Amino acid sequence: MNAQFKKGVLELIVLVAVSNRDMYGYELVAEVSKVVNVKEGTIYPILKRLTNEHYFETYLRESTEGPPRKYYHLTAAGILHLDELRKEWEDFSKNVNNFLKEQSHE
Amino acid sequence: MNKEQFLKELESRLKVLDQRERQDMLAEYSQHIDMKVESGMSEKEAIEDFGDIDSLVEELLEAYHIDPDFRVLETEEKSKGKESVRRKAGKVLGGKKNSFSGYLEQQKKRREERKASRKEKEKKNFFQNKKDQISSTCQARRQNDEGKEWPGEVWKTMKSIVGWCVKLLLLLIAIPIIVVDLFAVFGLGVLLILLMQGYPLIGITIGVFGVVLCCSACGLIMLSYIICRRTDVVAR
Repeated sequence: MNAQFKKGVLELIVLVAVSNRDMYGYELVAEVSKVVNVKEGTIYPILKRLTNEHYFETYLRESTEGPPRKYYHLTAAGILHLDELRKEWEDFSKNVNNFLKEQSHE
Repeated sequence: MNKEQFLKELESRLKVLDQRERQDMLAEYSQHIDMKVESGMSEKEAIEDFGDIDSLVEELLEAYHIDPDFRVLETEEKSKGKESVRRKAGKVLGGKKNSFSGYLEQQKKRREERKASRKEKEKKNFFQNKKDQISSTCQARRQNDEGKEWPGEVWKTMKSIVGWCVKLLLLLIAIPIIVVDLFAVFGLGVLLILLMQGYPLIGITIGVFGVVLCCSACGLIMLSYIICRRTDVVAR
């Protein structure tokens, strides 16, 4: 799959995944991998960037299976950003699809 | 590459970060590798799934707005080394160690400073322009008068007489206005005291206050006009 497509839409997918419920890194990587096949290492920098920009909050929760895990939670600013991105994606994909349809008819 | 090597490599590449942030990142990756191993993978496979470590580090540093090409100095004295790294990191981040919010605040401050200095400049220019306008009109008047080639003496006396007449007229009008103004201020004071005591005098008080404002405005305008003309005449 085209790497550029993946890179562009990764942030949106991460934000949507966390908006459903708080997740920790490993869990999040698994969720995202269901949608697009990405190098797992690239998820963490994205999480770090979104946390630095205050779209995510993090907290530690004890786990029975090992050391405490860091959970990511979407902030209000994050929700706004998600809505923005979602709208951008919908406009973008609509335009591209329309263009492709037109071109294929000619 | 096994887990330890990977983490060591990552740590050395992230030296520019704050100790806490670095540890945080390493803990995340370490935990991820552990969980993958638990689910059956080998360490090597787990690390391969991360992808290219160079692009990993690049993206991580970008999350802190650090230039990935920044190189850390390695000196013999550890303390000196740390200091210079801190200073360099500080320079890169503009004085605040490793906090993205600090970078944002710094940008905000710079923007506000620029705005403030621009406003100051605008104000100064505005006042400068006004001053220039006033002085230029006064000068123009003077120059206009000096440039005329009529019988010099006659024209001069004519001009001064006219000037004095106008000035006197304005003064005649201005003085009663100022007197009325003073009475109005006095009346306003009395009305206010009566108002405090409960008399229904709100309307009149507001009216008198209005009179005060009008009179003072008219008086001041005339005075300023008189004074300007006076310097015009005196300068000759």
